[in-house]
Order: sequence, then structure tokens, then C-alpha cells
Amino acid sequence: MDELPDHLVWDILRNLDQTNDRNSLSLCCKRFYSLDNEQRHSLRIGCGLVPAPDALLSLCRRFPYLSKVEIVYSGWMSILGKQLDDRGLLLLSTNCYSLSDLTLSYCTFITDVGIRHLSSCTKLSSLKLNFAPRVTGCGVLSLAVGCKKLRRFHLIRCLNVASVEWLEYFGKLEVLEELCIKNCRGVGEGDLIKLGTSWSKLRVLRFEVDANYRNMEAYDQLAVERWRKQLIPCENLVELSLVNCVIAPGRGLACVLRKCKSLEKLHLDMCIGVSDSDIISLVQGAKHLRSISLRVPSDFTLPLLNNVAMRLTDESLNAIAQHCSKLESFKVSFSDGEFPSLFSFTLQGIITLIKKCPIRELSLDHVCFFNNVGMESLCSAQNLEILELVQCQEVSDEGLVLVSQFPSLTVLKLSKCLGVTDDGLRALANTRKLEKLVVEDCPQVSRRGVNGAATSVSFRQDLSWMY
Amino acid sequence: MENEKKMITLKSSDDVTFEVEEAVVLESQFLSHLVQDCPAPEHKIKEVTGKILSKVVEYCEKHVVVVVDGGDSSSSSGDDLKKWDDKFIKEMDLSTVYDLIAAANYLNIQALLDLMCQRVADVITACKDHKEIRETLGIVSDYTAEEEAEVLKENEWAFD
Repeated sequence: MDELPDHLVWDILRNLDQTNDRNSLSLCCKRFYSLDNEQRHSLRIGCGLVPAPDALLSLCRRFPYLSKVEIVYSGWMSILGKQLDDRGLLLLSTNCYSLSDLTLSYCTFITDVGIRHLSSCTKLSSLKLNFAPRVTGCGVLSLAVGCKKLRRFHLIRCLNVASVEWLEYFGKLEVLEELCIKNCRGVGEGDLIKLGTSWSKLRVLRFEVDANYRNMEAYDQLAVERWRKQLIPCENLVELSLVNCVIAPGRGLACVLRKCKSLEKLHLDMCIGVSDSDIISLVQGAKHLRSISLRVPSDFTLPLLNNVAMRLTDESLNAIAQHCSKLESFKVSFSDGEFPSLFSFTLQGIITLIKKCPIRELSLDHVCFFNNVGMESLCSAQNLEILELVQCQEVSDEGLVLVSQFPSLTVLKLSKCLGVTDDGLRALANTRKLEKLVVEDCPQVSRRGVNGAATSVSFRQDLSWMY
Repeated sequence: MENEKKMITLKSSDDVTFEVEEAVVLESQFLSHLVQDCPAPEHKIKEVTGKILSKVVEYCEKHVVVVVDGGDSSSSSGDDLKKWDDKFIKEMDLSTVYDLIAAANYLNIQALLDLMCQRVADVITACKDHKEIRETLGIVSDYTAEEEAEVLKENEWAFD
């Protein structure tokens, strides 16, 4: 090793990316230490950083090419020493010259002042703020103004971000490609329209409304009526994930659903007001959809908005079956209530979809109408590799043994299924079909029953869900 | 066109000769330039010993793109080749690996260089701490006790 020139030792060390390997390297000898220092591009720090400012400064000096920094204070207690504060962010912004990707998680000491320091990081292209309760909309605005290259921005549980001028500012810049806003009470679905022309640039949007907050506020029909029509096309949107959102017909997010031609991944979780016609127009345009995941609100959640026809029915499934020739992953969940909505999907709709789309991964959660007939239809699903059934109580051993006839299945997950027993699994085990079997909380399946049923088996049983 | 393959002779620093097909030589950027620029029948490679050159030739012969009749080019199937690579590196001690790294660098055979560097990296990853790395790679520490303690402290600030 000593005889190899530095550039070849560099090539060797470049292959090591685990922090503990890199730490061990730096302890071996001075040569490795200095090579490692130059190669280190990412750093994850948090509670161990004591005293925070000094330690941060020496890390910045030691690793001159740091571009990705994660500061995570989950599990912090005051006894661990003071957290990194605004001054720490000033040090970071003035000493970490290549900083392009920063995550601040549970950094509760950070205020708008610290965030403003970051606006001098001109190379910053990705920023994630997770639980920064002292940061307000003003802080975020100063960031939008300063960091003109910011392409990815995540704002999660920042409860004091109330104003949304920053959204408008990002909208004008037209640089943002990935936006994730979760559980920030001050930012609502109706505010997203402020992104303006940036909508056509956006590639990923994840938006989650705080469900508990929404329930407390009760749903304000008047506010929705003020939402505007969204006219900008979203032709670059590849991933859209909406959780607990209200989709009002013809306004806001409903317009987005109809305008994203490049969409590949759709996740709608407990979104109230999505209609068949939204889904139909979406799939007619989005020819590249590969993954759809729907969690449907129950009849008990729905009455909040009772003047709209907003149940998804087989019409949606038929449209998906007809248009999504590339759909690989389909997940549907009715886990919101004991019983799925009365006028919702039926077995026939699911079967049509399975027959038409090249589904590789299927997940059914609380789908009470999915039964052994449904399992039989999977015998012709040529591409199905992964099947997950959660609380599908109509599936019994008779359906389970059919798994051996599924052409490509390798992974099976069963959770809280009452109808399947050791007998069904025994029949399956003899066929040596599965690579992976996961059984969780199924009362009629025992640890002995899963033994040998797949190359890799995982078993857990907690039956508290039944009582 | 004549079907006979053109042969090239390579001579190592300790005068061991290898007769190989031209296609094999072309795996090395350095040698392919050499062969094109000076069309001598024999090429001396002063930087590489016979022991190492035999390994290089073995590797290149395995990896050479086979031109099948009809003009389709295909290499041995990917999985087989990977298995062969695994076996190839497993049989080698570290000092041979270092020599091969230097040779692959000199002869400019990127795939061989990558394979060998990954091999050393895997050896390092398999070690549980810096002491084991030193022992395995035969590195003598040039730290004083204080310096080492200082690096250890700094390392503790940064976690996974």
C-alpha cells in the first residue's frame, strides 16, 4: 500500500461510503486521514456535537469539500448540552463553502435569524426543515430570496410558518423541482396556487395536511369557494402525493390532477372530494403512470363535504385499466373505517384492473370484498411478484393455496387476515414457490405453520387488534 | 478478409513473453495506442513483472469482446463474468492486488483497476476497527497517542 501513489489510494478509498469505515480509515494513519478529509462529502451530526459551534467549525475545516450536511437532534435532552443555534448556522454558512444539501431536523433552537444566515449559501440546492417550531414565514421568505438555486425544499411540521409569500417568491423564480410540505398548519391546499408558473417546472409535490388540525377546524366550505382555478399546466410533475387534502371540484388541486401528463407516481391518502372524473381525466393524459396508491376515506369521514359526488367507483378502476398500460404497482386501502364506502370499488373493478395492467406489486388493505374469486383472478397475473393482503377477511385457505399457481409471485405478506390458517400455508410450503413470506397478527397461523413456507420467513403475532 | 487473428508479443520487465491476440491487447488503452503507433512484433513493458503481466493477460483474455461470425459482438454473459471476477480476486493476496492496481493504472485498463480497488475496499469494510485495518493492510501508525485521541474525539461528533 505504501508504494502506491496517492491517486491510486484515493481510487481505493473512494469505494468506501459508510461513515464508520471512513472513521476507522482516518484513525489508521495520517495519510489516510488527509485523503479521507478530502473525500468526505457528507456529514450527519446531532446530539454528539458538543460544544456545538466549536465542533462544527473544526468539522468544516477538517472536511473542506462537504456538500451534504444533516443536523438531527431527535431524542435531544438539555443534559446533552446546548443544541446548535443560529450562530451555528452562521458558522456553517461561512465555513462550509460547497454546501448544497442541508437537513435540519428537530433543531428547535433555530429561529428566522439562523435561516437568514443560510441565504448566503449560494450553492444550496436542497433544504429540508423538519420540526423547526421557531421558524416563521419571514425566515422562509429570506431563504427563497437568497438561495436562488434551491431546487428541493421540504417543510415538515414547521408550525409557525403562517404566511405564504415565500411560495409566491419560489413561484416567480421557477427553479423549484421538488416541494414537500407536511403538517404545516399555516399552509393550506388553496395556497399552492401561489406557485404560479413554477407549477410547470415542478417534478415532485408531496403535500400533507395535519389531519387532527383539520378535524378540529371543521371543514370550511366558504374558504374552499375562494380557491382559484389552477390554469398553469403541470407537465413536468412525475410524483404527486396528497394526504388529507380537500379536492374541490374545478378548483386548486383538482385542476392539478387533470393537468399532469408526465405523472408516474400517484398517492392519494384520505383525500376528500376526489371524483371519478378527476381520475378519468388524469389517466387519459398520464400515459406513464407506474404506481397508484389510494387510501379512501370512509363514509364516516365523508359527510364533512356532503354536496359533492366524491366517491371513487369502478369507473375510476375501469379507466385505469383502460389507459395505464405501464402500471406496475397498485395499492388500495380502506383502512379508515371498519367498512368501506357503500358505493365504492367492487371486486369486478379490481379484477378488470388486474387483467389489463402489468401489475408487479399489489397491496389490498381492508378490502373486504376481495375473496377467493379475486385470488383466482391473480392466477393469470403474469407480472405479479409481490402481494400484500391486510385485513382481507374473505380470503381463506382455498384462496391461499392458489398462490402456488401465480406465475411470478415471490413475496407474500399477510397481515391481520382471519381466514388463512396453517393448513393453507402447509399446502403452499410444499410447492417451494415463495422467496419471502411475512405473516403478521393472523390468529390462525402459528410460528410452526410458517416454517419452511418460503426461503425467508418473518412471523409476528400481536392479536390486540381483534379486541 | 483473412480470418487469421493477428498475434502480438508482450515482454515483461523480467523478460517473460506472452503471445496474445490483438483483440486482447486492445482492452488496455495504453497498449492499443502502442500497437497502433509502433507496429513492432514485440513490445516490452518495463513497468510490469511477468507474474503480474500473466494476471493482466488472464483478465483481458477473459474480458475481451468476442466477435462472432456475422459481426455481432457479445461478451461472455454478465453473470458468468462476474463469477469469474470473484474467483479471480479471491485467489489473490493483497500485495498482488496492489501490483495489479499499479499495472492496471499504467496500462490504463479501467475495469481491472476498478475491480482491484473494490477488492481492497471490501477488505477494509470487513475490518471491525482501525486496528484491524492497520493489521490487515500492514500499515504502521504515525500518530502520537494524543493525536489519535483527538481524531477519535472528532469522529464521535459525526455519526452514520
